Amino acid sequence: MYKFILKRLFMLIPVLLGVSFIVFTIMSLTPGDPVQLYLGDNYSQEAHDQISEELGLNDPFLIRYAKYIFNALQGDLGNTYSTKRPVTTEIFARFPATVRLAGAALFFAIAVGMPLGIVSAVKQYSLTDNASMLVALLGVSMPNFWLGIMLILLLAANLGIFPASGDVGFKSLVLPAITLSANSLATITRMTRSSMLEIIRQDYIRTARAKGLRESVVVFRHALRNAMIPIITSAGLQFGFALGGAVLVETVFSWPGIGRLLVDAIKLKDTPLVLGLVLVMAVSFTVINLVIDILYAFFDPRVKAQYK
Amino acid sequence: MENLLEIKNLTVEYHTQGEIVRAVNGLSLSLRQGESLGLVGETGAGKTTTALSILQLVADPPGKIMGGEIFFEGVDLLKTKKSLLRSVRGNKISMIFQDPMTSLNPVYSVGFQIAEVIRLHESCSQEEARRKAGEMLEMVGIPKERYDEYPHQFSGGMKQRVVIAMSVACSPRIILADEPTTALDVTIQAQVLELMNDLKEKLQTSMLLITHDLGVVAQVCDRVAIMYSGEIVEQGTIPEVFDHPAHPYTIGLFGSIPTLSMSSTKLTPIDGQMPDPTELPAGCSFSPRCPYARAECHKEKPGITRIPGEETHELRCFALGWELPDEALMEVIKRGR
Repeated sequence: MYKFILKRLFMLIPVLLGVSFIVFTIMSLTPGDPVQLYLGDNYSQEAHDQISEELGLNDPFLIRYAKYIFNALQGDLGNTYSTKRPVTTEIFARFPATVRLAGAALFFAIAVGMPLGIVSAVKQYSLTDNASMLVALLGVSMPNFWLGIMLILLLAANLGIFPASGDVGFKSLVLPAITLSANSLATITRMTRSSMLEIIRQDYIRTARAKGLRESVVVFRHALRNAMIPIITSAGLQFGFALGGAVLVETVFSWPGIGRLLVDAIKLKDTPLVLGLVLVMAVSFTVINLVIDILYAFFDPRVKAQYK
Repeated sequence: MENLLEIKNLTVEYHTQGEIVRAVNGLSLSLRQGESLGLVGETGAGKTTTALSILQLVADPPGKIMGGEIFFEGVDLLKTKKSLLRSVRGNKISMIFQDPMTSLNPVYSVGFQIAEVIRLHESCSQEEARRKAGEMLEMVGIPKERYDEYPHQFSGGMKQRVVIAMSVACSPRIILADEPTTALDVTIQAQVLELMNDLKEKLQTSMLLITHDLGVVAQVCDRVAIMYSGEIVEQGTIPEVFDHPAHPYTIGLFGSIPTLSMSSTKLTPIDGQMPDPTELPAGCSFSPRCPYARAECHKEKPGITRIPGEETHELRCFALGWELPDEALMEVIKRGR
């Protein structure tokens, strides 16, 4: 198991190299002059040439990439063009907010979605089932910026229960988290339902009932654990996407996350910042995938047996 | 001797997409203390549904127990409270399922799955249950060191042993064994049957053995009931039914067993198919295939009659008392065994 985890962590290296190379290439192929951004509106040709030289923009493409990687290995991702502060500082000023938002959204999606899915499966075609499938349908089909605006209107503007925007303590987390979770909540509900429906028809569930176990024990101990694999897969993927920043939700709630930071960086052709953000996202996605794989082994001994 | 289990007029239907499948039709059956009853019939005859009904494990939907009574220890299991039914399941009546590959939960260790039923019904400590589950494993011939292993680490025959250990863990009064050897290969079949016989003697348990293998019945059972299209068409002790099969279906069954002593190139099947359980014939359900059927057979359903001169041999057929013409067939049957 430890060997497996180590092996997977080593696989991060080629992934990061590949991702950084692709993004680096794309950024240098897109039109636009970063020096212009760096210097602002009024500058002389000499200043332009000097900064160009300083930023190493006159070097051939591969040299520039090699230099970037060389510095990155020492923990230096360069300075942003726009604020001229270190990229790492910029990112880690914003990343915790994203983690908090994504975490809260995931928690809400699981806490609501899984019970809904379980009830739907156990009482298939019942009123509860139909109701939660309706919730799931709404969840996937509602654009989340709209849901965000509606929540702000109702719970912030009219009732004043929650703050409408910004990151000012726990209360301000509630609305953006609910908004961001709508989609994953719907997916998790549907996933739980279909997975549970398949499992409760298995022979070993009948065996569990034949033992005389209570229905709740049959469902939670015997069925749910078997149904977990597709559920954690989809929950993990959703969490991974959320960690990459949720531009719309962040914009609606003025949430200081990395989603908006990335969009702004791309617009300004702030190559070091874009690269840094993409690398952070790649690392978090890979780590989440690893966590999902470890959870598989936790839930299913057959999977664990393969991790040798 | 008093009946331990008594099923009266059990009717079970499956309701699917506008069709009603009549799986069990007014079946009556009884089982005495310490007795083994073989329930024989072809696929779709309603054997498994009957066994599942006793513990009310018929999948609902689509299955529905429409009527009847199932008395166990003086209580009608079909009308009793859920909690009482749960205290019977796995404890006083336990079940061995057909397919050992799928009847164990893949994510729990085999030891845990045995200990679970012990802890549930015997309200003992975790260590106590673990110790006893280990003993159960030893009893079915699996070293208790394998307690913490998972079903995927066991072969099919071993898994069936685990299922058996699980079903006898609480010393039940009745074991419902649903084709316990069908999914196993022949040598393992023999081992499992022997194991079940041993356990039955040791524990004085009654058994309802569902099978379509008449050889297994002869080896294990005291009595046999032949099931056709959701009804019992003939039942009696092994010598009664095996030596003097009376129902044309039973005769056909014995006749279809190929023999080693006679060289034959063709099997002797019973002509035709079992009737569609969504549209059962009006009269005797075997009448469309019966070589002896007369006009009344197609119109009226025969009742159950005791065969004169025999103690427990019962028959659901009008042919009792008729001269059955096919002496040659009977000869084949007799020589076949």
